[in-house]
Amino acid sequence: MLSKTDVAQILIKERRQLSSYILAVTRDVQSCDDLYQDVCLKALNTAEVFADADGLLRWSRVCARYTAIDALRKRQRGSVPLSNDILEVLAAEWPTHRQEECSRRIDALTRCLRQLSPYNRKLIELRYRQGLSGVEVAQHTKRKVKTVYQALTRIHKNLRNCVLQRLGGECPL
Amino acid sequence: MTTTSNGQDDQFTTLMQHYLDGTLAGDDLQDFEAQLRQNADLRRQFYETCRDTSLIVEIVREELEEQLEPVPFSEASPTQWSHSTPRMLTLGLAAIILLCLCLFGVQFIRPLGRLTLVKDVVWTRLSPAATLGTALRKGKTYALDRGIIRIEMDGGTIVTVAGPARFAAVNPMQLRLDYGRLGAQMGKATRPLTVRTSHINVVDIGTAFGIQAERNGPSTVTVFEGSVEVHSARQEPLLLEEGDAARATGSGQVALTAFDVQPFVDLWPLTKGIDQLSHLIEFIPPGPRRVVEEYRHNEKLFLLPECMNVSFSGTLRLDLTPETRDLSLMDRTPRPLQNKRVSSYSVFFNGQEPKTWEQPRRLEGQITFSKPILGVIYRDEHLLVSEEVLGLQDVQYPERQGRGLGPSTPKHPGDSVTLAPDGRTIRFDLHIGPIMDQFRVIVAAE
Repeated sequence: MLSKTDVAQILIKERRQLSSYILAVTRDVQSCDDLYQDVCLKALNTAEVFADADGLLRWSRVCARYTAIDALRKRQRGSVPLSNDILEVLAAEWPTHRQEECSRRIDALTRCLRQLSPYNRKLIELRYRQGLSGVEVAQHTKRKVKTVYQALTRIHKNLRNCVLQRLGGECPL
Repeated sequence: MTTTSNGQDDQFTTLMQHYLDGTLAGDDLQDFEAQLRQNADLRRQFYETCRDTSLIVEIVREELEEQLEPVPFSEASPTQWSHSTPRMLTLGLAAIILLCLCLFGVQFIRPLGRLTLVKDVVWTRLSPAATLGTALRKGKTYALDRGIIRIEMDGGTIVTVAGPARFAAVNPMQLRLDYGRLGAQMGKATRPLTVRTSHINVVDIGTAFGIQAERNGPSTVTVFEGSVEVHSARQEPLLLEEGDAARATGSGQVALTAFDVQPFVDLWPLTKGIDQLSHLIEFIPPGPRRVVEEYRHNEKLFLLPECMNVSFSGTLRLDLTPETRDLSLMDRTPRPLQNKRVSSYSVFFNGQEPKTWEQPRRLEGQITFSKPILGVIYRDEHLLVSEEVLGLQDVQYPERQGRGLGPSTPKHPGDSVTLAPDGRTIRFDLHIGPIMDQFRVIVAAE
């Protein structure tokens, strides 16, 4: 049986994985940390007893899904657009911390971000630091919306390739 | 396992970007779902994009935090929390917080502050739309086009912000104000608040101050109670005391300026724990030495916030409590209040000269406080005692007795004060004569 300390340690290690799963549901980068903390609080306060880490992770993914759906509904964005069956499949397949080493990836990603052109870097800042939507980024940069989405797609692809190169192709995919 | 071509890959990636932007709908959404359902590689790609997006947000936020040191400070700067922590230390701190949570309970996962009032607020397009009870999180910038919010910081300080304004909570003891008006009432004395604008850092030594920061313009700090230190790039820290005000410009120069309460008139009642006031009550804002007798009006009462968030030893006699609220003035036996942390508010009427009224004037209204009312004091002898304990030292209170409220008599209709069921609202129905009438409201501080 996992103690509260065990639960906390496991959830800490899974922070990024859980936050990214929450992002997949809510698509709101601003609220992911808050909702992750909500999941942690629920995990530590639940009467349920976790036999092992896998049980805790399965429970936390389900909890994260429902917590994210609740948050989405409270923001009156309507129902969750991804169907429940897909969210369940994603939750089951979502890699855990044990399967992926994030710290090296972050260092690689930081360096790759610095290599972006000034324009691409600006798009990243507008989209992810200021939290602008694609439409708002397009208005701000006076470009077409389609152009902005294509640019973001290219940026993500280039960043992924850059990180793979830096990690020497060792990142388990 | 299904594989994809480069063209399909780009098409899926574009759909994914739209989905993550919240703009995917209809046939495109169904197409996106179908691809996710059928193709494990695409589901993997979706995961990677969500993961990388989260990491990018984390990286750019940390870079923003590292850029929040625009004003170099002298060696004499007060100790501040460092907010530019390395990534692993941030993770370590999160681990410590969660472990403490296990050992000591949920109170250790605490927000930097929480919104306790949201009044007529319109948030800007780019701002999170915070509602009542929303927790302030580190690194989030909030911006309001109009309205007023009140925040209870984790350190106990009460902060109000009036739009148009933009601000962020840097840590439990520090706020960044890009522009707007801000009022601050310090809470527990051990955790002073620092407010940073583009030109200055204001460190609250105690107890109440206001800041007006103009967008791309100067910042003005006004001290209502206690003192603050103003730090800027170009000069030594400036100590401001009650009744002082200073203006800082983009050149880094800070100079004393005229003390002016007007920019904060709408903020102070909320900062001082008053959510709502009837129109016939005039709020006395904090400031230098005041003489109660000088506040006079024939149609209005005055509300003077007194000691805030203080502990007192000994016993106070409360003439009205939530338990006795349904009794008339004559039937209420004073109840003792001991060893509590409280805030005190004096409400009084003082007519203008010449006082030649033949008939009492009736004044009805109500006040809603942000915290529960513990009791009301309206008997003469109890008012005097409570003044000594909870009155302000720099306020000159009237020396005469006979200020309290009274029940009805054959010659006088009498006064009435009641507590509403919400526990935070007091309603009064006073028949005012030419002499002063007063009652004091004791509110829970926590």
